[in-house]
Formats: sequence, C-alpha cells, structure tokens
Amino acid sequence: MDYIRRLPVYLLLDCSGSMSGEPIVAVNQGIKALISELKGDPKALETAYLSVITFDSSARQVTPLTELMLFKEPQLSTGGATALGGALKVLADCVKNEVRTTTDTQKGDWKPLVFLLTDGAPTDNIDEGIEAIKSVSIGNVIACGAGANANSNTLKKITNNVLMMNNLTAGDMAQFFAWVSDSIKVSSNSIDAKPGEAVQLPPPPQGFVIVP
Amino acid sequence: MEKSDLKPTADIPEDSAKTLVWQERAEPAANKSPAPETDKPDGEPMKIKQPSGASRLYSDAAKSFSTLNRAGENFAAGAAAVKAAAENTVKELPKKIERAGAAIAARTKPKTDLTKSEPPKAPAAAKAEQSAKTAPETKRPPETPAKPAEEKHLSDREVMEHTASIWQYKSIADDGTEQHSEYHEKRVKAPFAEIIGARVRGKKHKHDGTNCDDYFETALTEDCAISVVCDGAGSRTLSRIGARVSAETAAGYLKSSLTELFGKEADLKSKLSADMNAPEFMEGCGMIAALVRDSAREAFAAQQNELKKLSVDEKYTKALGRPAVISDLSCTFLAAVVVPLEINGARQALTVSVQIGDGCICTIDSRAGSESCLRLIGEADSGKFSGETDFISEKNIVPDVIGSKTRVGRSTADIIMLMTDGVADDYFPAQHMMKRLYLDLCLNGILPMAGELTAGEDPAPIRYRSVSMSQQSVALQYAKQLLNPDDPNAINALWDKREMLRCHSLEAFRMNIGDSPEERLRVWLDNYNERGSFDDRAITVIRLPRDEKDDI
Repeated sequence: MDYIRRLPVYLLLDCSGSMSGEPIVAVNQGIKALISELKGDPKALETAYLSVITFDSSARQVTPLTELMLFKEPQLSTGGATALGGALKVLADCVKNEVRTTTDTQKGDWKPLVFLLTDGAPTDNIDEGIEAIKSVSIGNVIACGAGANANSNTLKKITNNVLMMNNLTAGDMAQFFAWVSDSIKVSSNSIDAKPGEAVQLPPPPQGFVIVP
Repeated sequence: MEKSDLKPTADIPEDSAKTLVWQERAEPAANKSPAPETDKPDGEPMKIKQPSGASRLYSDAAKSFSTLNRAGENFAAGAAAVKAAAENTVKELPKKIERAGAAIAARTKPKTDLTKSEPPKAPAAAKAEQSAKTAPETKRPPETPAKPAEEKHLSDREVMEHTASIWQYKSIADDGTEQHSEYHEKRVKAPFAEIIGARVRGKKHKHDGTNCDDYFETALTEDCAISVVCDGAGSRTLSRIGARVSAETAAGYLKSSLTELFGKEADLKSKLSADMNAPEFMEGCGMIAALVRDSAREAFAAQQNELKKLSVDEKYTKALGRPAVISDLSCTFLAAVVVPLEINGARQALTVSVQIGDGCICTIDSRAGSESCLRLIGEADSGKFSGETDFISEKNIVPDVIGSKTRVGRSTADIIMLMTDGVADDYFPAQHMMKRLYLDLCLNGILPMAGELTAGEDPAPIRYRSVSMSQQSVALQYAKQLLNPDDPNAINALWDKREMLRCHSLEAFRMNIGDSPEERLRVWLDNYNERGSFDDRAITVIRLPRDEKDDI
C-alpha cells in the first residue's frame, strides 16, 4: 500500500545474427557498465527499475522490471532475424503488466523510458508493434540505429527520437550505454521537475547523428 | 504550457514523445537558445484593484462560494454548505472516509498480489504470437530465463540505508545570482495563535550543490494568522527568487491589508461569527477572500517588478545565457488567513485560502475522531499526475480563475498546515495521510502530544546518516512504523489511539532534535527519509489554543 513512484526503464536490444561477435560482446559490457554507473547514483537507486527485452527471430523479456540494487545483467547471445515488431508487442505487454497507474489511493509509476538498439531492418510486421505501444502509456522511446543496415525511416515510425550510430564498434557501444546511463540519471533527477519543461536528455555522444 | 515528459502513467497524449528536447551539446551558455515561452518579458505592472464596497465584496464572496459548491467537498462553506449548519457538514465526512476505505481495500489487495507473486506473462504470450508469423526459428542456446519478478525483495529501508551513504552534500555554488540560505526556520507567536515554519534544501539540491527553491513567510496581525508557501519551478534556475518575492509580498500585503480591514470594520469579527446562513457572514468572508485573492495578484506583480531588475542585470543574463523572462520566476502559491473566533463560548477558526499549483493545505481538529479530524482545502492543480502543476501566471490571477481557487470555511480545527509538494507527496493520499503527518509532528516533539509519558517502547526511532556537512546521524520516529501495512484503515485506527502513542515518541526515548519547536521542525524536515523523496521541503503549521488552559 505504500509504493514508491518508480521510473521504469526498458532496454530493447537487437540480438539478431548480425549482432554476433564484437557488437554483442560490447552490448553485454555496455549493460554491465550501465548498471555499475547507475548504482553510484542515489536518485537512480531510489527510483529507477530496469528491464531487458531482447529480440531476434522472436522477442522476449529477459529480465523483468527489477530494482536497480537487485539487477543482475543477463548474458546475451545472438542468432536469427530481427523481430522488432514482436519486441514492441512484448514491450506493450510488459508495460501493461508491470507499470503501476495512479489511483486515488496509490501513487502510480512515472512514464517508462525506453531505449531501443537495433542494427537492421525488421523482419516481421512492425506496424502491429507500433499499434501495440500506442495503446499503453510510454514516456519516451529513444531508438538508436547502429551500422549501415539500420533504417532510420522505420525507426522514425516508432518514435520521433532517433539516433544513428555509424558503426558497431565496441567504442561506439560503450558510448551509447554511457549516454543511456546519463539519460536515466537526468530523468530520475527531473522526476520532481515541474511541468512546462520537457525533460532534457543529455547531448548524444560524438559521432551519433540525431535524425530530425 | 507544455507538460512534463516524466509523467506517471495515465492518459498520456499520443504525441507526448514530441516534447522530448535534446539538450544542446555543451557549449558556452550564451549560445543556448532562449526558452520558447511566450510570457511577456516585462509586461506592464499589474493594476491591483482594491475592493471598494460591501456589495462588490459580497458578490466576490458568492463567487468563491459557488466555486466551492462546484468543487463540492471537504470544506464547510459554499452556497450549499452555508445552508447547512457547520456540524451538518462534518457529518458528511464519515461516509466519504468509509467509501474511500472500502476503495482502498478493493484496490490494494489485487495490486499486492500482482507485484509479489505473478510472473510477467509477456514473454510466453509474445513468443507464441511470434513463432506463428516470423521466419523459421534459428536454433540457439537459450538465454537466461526471465526470473520471477521480485524473487528477492528489498525493503525501502534497506535501499535508503544504502543510498544514505551515497548522497553527497555540496554547499550552494555561487554564480553571482541571489543565493538562498541552506534552510530557514521561524516562529511567530501571539496569545491567539502560534505559527512555526521551516524550509530545507532537498537531497537532490544538496547532491548537486544548488539552491532550495521553496520559500515561506508567516505573519500575525492582532486578529489573524497568515501563512504563504511557494515552490519555485524545479526546471527554472531562478524560480527560488520568484518564490521568495511571492511569499514575502503576499504575506506583507495580507498583514497590512488585514490590519487595515479589521481596524476599519469594527464588527467584522461578529460578522464572521454569525450564522453561516446569514448574509453578514458571507459579507465578512467576502472581504477577507478579496484580500487573499489580491495577495496572489500582488505576488505576481512583485515577480514582474523583480524581473525588471533581473532582466537588465548582467549576472543573471550570464547565468541564464539570455535575458531573464517572467517564467524564470515561476512558482506555486499557497496562502491562508486564519481568524480564530469564539462563537457561543466555543472556539472556531475561519480559514480563507488560495492554492495555485501543487502542495497541500489542510486543517486538523486534534480533538476530533479519525473520521472528521482532517479536511483538505483547495486542490492541487496537478490532477492525476503529480509532478505536473500550475504556477502563478497572468492567466490564473484573473478574477474568475483566482476566485475558483479560493476557499472559505469555518470549523473547530486547531491546526492549519500549508506545505509544498516536497512534503505533501510523502503523505499520499493526502485525504488520509495528512493524519500521519500530524502524528509524525507529535512523535518528533514538534507539536504537543497528549497521553502519558512512559519509557520508550518499540519500534524505536530510525536513524539515518544526514546529508549535511556534519554527516551525523539523526534518529526520528515515523508513524508509518506503527501502521499495519495490510490494513487500509490503519491510519484511522492509529489516529483514534493517538493518546497511547507517546511511548513511541522521541521524548519517550529521551531524544530531542532541537531546542525550540521551530528548530525541531526544521531538523525533522531536513532528515526524515522517504524513498524517492529528494525534493526541497517547506511547511508551516498554524496552531490555535484549544481552550483557555492550552498555553501556546
């Protein structure tokens, strides 16, 4: 009965075959670095809850929405196609099941923050996924397309906030996760900010392009 | 005004994602584009019309009454309520609380089950859907399976004990702009009322080395107690200045105008003591309501005057990266005037208040039972989403709007509290939990506590390291510890046995957190720990003597 208002954060990570090798190793390291960084921030520790959803030929929630202090990073492996539409549907289901809404007697959670990382074009029906996430309350979806095969037009259909990174090097991945970590910190910091202002996310890393 | 991107879930507009703003890459402040607000940067100063005749005042009163009527709850006034005697309106409350209690019972239970035991259904469902239509599955080693949610659970206290060591204390960075003190506490006292107030810098601002944006001011006239509390917009770096000028100006205006009014209208108190149906009662209320409303307009006028200074001051232009605009001074505005009355030998208090934006104004009758002791006055404009609020602005100080935010009532309450959301959010839902706030103030020696003083009984006060220069730990008692978490009606049960709770007070444990009530209020405000609560906090408590023997 005395729930705190959480900041739910969902990471949607592409684990298709093209991510194998250096990229997925970098993703695994990136999550690790993200968690260790956030664990040093008291605002994030008190409010942020993290979940990981992965997708290849299908999509699944690998880590349910978990308290930061209890979060154990999953070991991700790759293979298969790019079921991005499916991932969005899983996301919609998770938000429906896990995120608490405000009632007269209970504080609801903050709107979830979603970070999507993909390196290719979706191989399933993306429109169904987009429909699904429209039906739930999500604060910001930030989509990051990595490498030459990522399609910014497709990502733009999901969200207005699209970042492109040119390649899939370990260095770029590390930068991406560092930026995600900064964004979560800024968001947990802005939780009591008054409206009238959009939450300002930190500037994206060098070499990342914001798709207008 | 745009809405914050960070909203709790519910009714989010579909295009909300559009409002996300990418911050400029770190560049000299001067290159930042000015805020897109359309507020007039230095509009002509507001003309404040002084109420002139009784008839006009009467219609003002009727306006605020009819609004009240529409809002239709909690407080004993309004055209309809005026028809009912004061005691009749009190009778409404038990039913409401009963209903609310049932609602909690209905809602809390399934919710608990959901989070504690139900594993997320999503993966399985989604997988089934997917395999039906995607390309053939590639065989690959299974990933770490999804663990059931919260197989291990950390209590809020465990998390806070951990974060207590991580919060940093940084003194306020001086950038040449107006700096506010780390904290402030104040007490004013007269035979008929005492007001204590305090504000403290939130942990977030301590961690970041930034100013406290909350401000309060209190005052007493020969007849009235006055309190104004303002919360500067968190996203505006100069909002603390808006909060200060608003609180100081409104309290000052109320003090002088009320002194004048009571001097001029010799029979005002008897009007206010009249039957609540009587025209003279409404007339009297109307006079005070007009002043309270005007205090908000005075506050906004003062913001505009302040802006004239700031917008041509290089230090501010440098700090902002552009000239200051009126919205840089945005703050909430909560003001209350309390007139203690004696009606047929019984003590009552007339309360006239206005609330713009979030926070809470409530009255408590410390002698009443749990079902009728608490009334919330005014509504936070935040609606469903807390964290969204309204500020004093040109549009909401026009007579119709400000009238709709004005509340008048008379009751047997002896405690009137005003607070910013930094406190109110920790006592959610306010219609029940403001009782817990009152008990916390008693348990920690800030308000007097009835009952026999014995040796301390468990649960003992909880000690956390303070986020301060000294880092010493401060033990505080929490009424929450005494609540049965499974009983939605627990707060009412606790309230009704409050005279037996003194054994849990700091005093019973031979602890004392300050030499005066206001110091204890400030130390408590600065140190009580609530998970996810790191905003600035400000609260004022007006206390009226309960009877001749009650010495304040």
